[in-house]
Amino acid sequence: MQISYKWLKEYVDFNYTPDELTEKLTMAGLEVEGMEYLGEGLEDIIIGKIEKIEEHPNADKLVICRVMLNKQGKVMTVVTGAPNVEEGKMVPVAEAGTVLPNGMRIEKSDLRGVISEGMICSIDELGLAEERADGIMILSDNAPLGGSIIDHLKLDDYILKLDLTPNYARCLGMIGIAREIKSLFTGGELNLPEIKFTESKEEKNINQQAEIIIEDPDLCPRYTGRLVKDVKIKASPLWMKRKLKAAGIRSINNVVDITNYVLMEYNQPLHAFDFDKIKNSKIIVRRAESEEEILTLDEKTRVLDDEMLVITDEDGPLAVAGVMGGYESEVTEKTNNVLIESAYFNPISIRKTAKKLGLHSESSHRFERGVDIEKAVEANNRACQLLEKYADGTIVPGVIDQYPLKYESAELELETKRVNQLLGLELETAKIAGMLEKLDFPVKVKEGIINVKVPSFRTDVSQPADLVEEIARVYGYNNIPSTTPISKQLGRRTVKQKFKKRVERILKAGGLDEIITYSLQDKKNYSDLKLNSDSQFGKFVSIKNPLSEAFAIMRTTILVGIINTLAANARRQTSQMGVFEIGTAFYYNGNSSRPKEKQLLGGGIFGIEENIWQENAPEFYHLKGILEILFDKIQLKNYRFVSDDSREYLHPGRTAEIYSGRELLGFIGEIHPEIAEKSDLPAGTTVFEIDFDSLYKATPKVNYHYKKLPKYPSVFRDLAVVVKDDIEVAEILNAIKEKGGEILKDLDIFDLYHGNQIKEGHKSIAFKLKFQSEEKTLRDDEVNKQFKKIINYISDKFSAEIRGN
Amino acid sequence: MDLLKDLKEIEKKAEEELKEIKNLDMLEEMRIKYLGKKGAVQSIFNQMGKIDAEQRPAVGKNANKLKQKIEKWLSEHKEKLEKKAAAERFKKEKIDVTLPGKEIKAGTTHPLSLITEELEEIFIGLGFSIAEGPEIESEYYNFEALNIPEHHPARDLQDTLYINDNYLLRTHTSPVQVRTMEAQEPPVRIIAPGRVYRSDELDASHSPIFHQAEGLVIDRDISFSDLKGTIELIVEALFGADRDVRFRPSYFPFTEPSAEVDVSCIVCEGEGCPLCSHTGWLEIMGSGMVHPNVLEMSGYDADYYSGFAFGVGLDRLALLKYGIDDIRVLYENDKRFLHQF
Repeated sequence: MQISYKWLKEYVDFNYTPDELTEKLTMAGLEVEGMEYLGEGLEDIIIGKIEKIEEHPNADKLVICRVMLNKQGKVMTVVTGAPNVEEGKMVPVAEAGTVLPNGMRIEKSDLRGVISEGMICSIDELGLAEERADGIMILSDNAPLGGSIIDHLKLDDYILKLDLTPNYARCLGMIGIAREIKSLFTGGELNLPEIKFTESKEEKNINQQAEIIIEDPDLCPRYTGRLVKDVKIKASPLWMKRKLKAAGIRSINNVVDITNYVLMEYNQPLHAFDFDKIKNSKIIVRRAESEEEILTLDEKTRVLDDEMLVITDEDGPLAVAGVMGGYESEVTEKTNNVLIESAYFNPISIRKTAKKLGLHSESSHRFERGVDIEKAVEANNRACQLLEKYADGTIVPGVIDQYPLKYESAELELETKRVNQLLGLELETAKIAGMLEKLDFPVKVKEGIINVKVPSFRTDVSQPADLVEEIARVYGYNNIPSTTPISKQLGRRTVKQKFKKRVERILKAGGLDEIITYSLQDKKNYSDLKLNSDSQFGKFVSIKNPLSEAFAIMRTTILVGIINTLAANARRQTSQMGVFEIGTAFYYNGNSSRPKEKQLLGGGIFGIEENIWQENAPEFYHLKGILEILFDKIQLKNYRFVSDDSREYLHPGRTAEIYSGRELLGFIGEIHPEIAEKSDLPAGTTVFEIDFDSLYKATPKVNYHYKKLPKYPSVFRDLAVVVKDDIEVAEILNAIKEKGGEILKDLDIFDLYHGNQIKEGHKSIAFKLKFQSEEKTLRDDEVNKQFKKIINYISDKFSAEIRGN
Repeated sequence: MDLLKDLKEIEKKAEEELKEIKNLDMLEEMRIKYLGKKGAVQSIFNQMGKIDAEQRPAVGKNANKLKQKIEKWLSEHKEKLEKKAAAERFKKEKIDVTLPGKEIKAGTTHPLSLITEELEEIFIGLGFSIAEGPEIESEYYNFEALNIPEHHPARDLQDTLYINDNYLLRTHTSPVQVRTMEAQEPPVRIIAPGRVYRSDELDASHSPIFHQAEGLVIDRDISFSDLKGTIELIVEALFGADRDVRFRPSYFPFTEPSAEVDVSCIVCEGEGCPLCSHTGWLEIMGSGMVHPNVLEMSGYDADYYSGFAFGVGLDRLALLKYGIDDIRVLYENDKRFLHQF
């Protein structure tokens, strides 16, 4: 919605500057998004007169114009190629030094040997038309020589662009906005148009010339019609064109413009039918038949259904009620007689119809928000007045007013106590009543209760809370005092929320950056990364109305975000990066069911140099180390990493599933080398994903409990064994623990070796064992006895060769 | 033999020799030479039997004195030598403290999490709890229970992404209000941060995925004054005490009265600049008194209880607070960006 500042002034007396008005309207809830000065950049354009046109000595396509600039006879030379220059014409002129609205600066210039001292402007150069004009702009002959183009074209006005929320439907017309200004700021009375016209004495009453039948009053509670004969279709007067242009409405012809003008004034959409096209002069307002068709004004055939309301004659639809007129009954240059419709249609019905047809018009926009049903005849009369004056129309006496569902104004009861309670104020009943009266609500007061009648133009008010907002608006939101409610509760996070924070803290301490990625994704990512091979990851939830392929499905894994982030950073020459994200993944769960949501923790890393264990898998062990410190810190019980080769997107020899007891929590693995290469991921990039909800459930809610520190010294023993390559270290560790007994307190691996001194297909592993007793200082022979047991067991169980013992 | 004279000579010799002692080894040699079992002072004691009895006490006394004197010299000198040795060692061990420390890789917090946590801490301090809800919602929770019936123009305020006929991606965190009210009796004080979705094309200021935090307070006698006071506290905590706050009438179907909250522009201080579209104000959140229909639909007595709610865009808050000019940067996760926080 956009309005002219000057036009608004016609309806209410105020002396606010456009800036002040902007501020006032915004603070009243009518947000002004932007303001535009119509004469912007045209301050220096003056009206000149082409005195004389001479041929250019050196160019066929150029002419030399001597342009008079003022009454004192100042003349400027302009060289131009415009085809429509003509001696004696008044034109807009820019002298050297002037900057045009498009930023172009006019300079004196030598055009083929003749100095041009300025420019005669075209309409688009002045920013008054979008399309490129063929020639210069020719002004009317009475344009004042030397005068300002702004004054002459009445451009000394401002356009305010309003962003109106649905509850300001009443402000979709000039009078509605004027009423807000009157009610909230200026007081006084509105200057409403004085409607006067003469009904023809020769014509019979409209009821004898036309008929209107409403078949579906639920969708059309009121329909009024007036007949205007012998209209002359022509261009509208300039002032009307200008006002409509300010409102963003294109001028068509006087009749159509008049309906739009009244729409802008009264917020009442009107429609003009070519009366002679209405069969038997009879209008029937009814639901469309299923599959019934109409060619609308925009020359498109629309297929209707039986929920849509149409204006018809006996032959078929003439218009889609409240949405768009039909092509056949449109007002054209040949039109003589017009029937003016001013009606009220059911807002929900209009909204549904406009939506189904994909047709959003100035008219449907207003009907679906609710127009003032009581003003239908007044708006129709206003149109007649203008048609009489500007289309030379003959007004047929009388009005057809079908009004099957009469407006009954709602009565609301407002309790002073409750108003004050809700707003934090201490207003007297009379004061509140006065505020509502200012807003044109009729009120009756008795002992702390105000009875309020809702006027027909307040389609947004249906209950006392709506009135409370009005009172706050009149009082001024910013005049209401500020207080802070005292909380009787303790603010806190839940156990799970705290757990999440803790996990995040540990992962960050481990060197991983927290990232946040899109949960709407491209299916293609999943096939590129072979993630769709995972049955779980393939359970996509698709968006019914996606923006694009890139945002067409919901993620089923965090890995896509992790991998894309790592790849993008690697492409930007980042040498090392580790990241994690905790977020929701979504899984298809049947066509009409709620998809499953699951919190996942995922992460990934590349660019680690320290080749721990000489396995050439530094990323794997680095990331595993971070997970181990996480699991240890949150005291996850019995977690294990178990070799796995079932995931097509991961390296089959470098993947482990992560278990807590028997429950699978997730996995860690190196990205499959082929996928890594295709996705620009550095070789060795390793990722993990853990079901966060399961991790939380598997983590005991322990409180910390102090264990006494050992008093007696510890004894260390090193153990180096050579075993076959395929024996996993975890097996040996478990075996050592099994035989270590109570006094084996700690067990570490400090070396892993394949190589020269070790036979083919074998590896050497060195362990450090720590023995300690809680009761006494251990003697060497006690330790040796236990150590020997371990050695025997290991060498036996794994056919291990014990080195250096 | 004149032992007293000998003592004097020993003393004189020792005093001179001491000056030549350069290290602890030499010092030990000297100790043995003078004070050892076969040392010079001992030899005087050893010769005591050979002199007159009346001379003995004087010799004994002087010999003891000399012994003590040399002991003192030696220990003093030892200390001197040790200090010197330490000084030399420290000099040798001196390092260049201006060399950089070992690079420790610490992970960073994403700016969206930073702002969310900051907000959460403020609210926890005010007695709020943190609530959560699903990202996929039913029409009922996302719209109807929030007083947005099916054919209301308010549905146009948000472009919705649908999953199927019954479910959609929540367009705001407001459904958490309804879920909270259904699950508990008043008083309610919650803040619900989370991810929301709109059918908005991705550009510098729009994203189909973004984050909001929803606040809800319901109790007896909660007023618009309380709403204002609480929001002013938050703005102060987030942007400092010298920000102006203004409340302006607005429209949200689930609040009545509704208010948009503006703060004076953090760049131009209200003078007008491109960031605030030359208005001097930045719109930071929507708020209002919970609509009686919303209270009633969730089973609260709207005549007995009242409350306020507000919703703030966390992405926008992060952009404003950290001076980021493009919302997409938040989701690109460039390491150089992440490591600025």
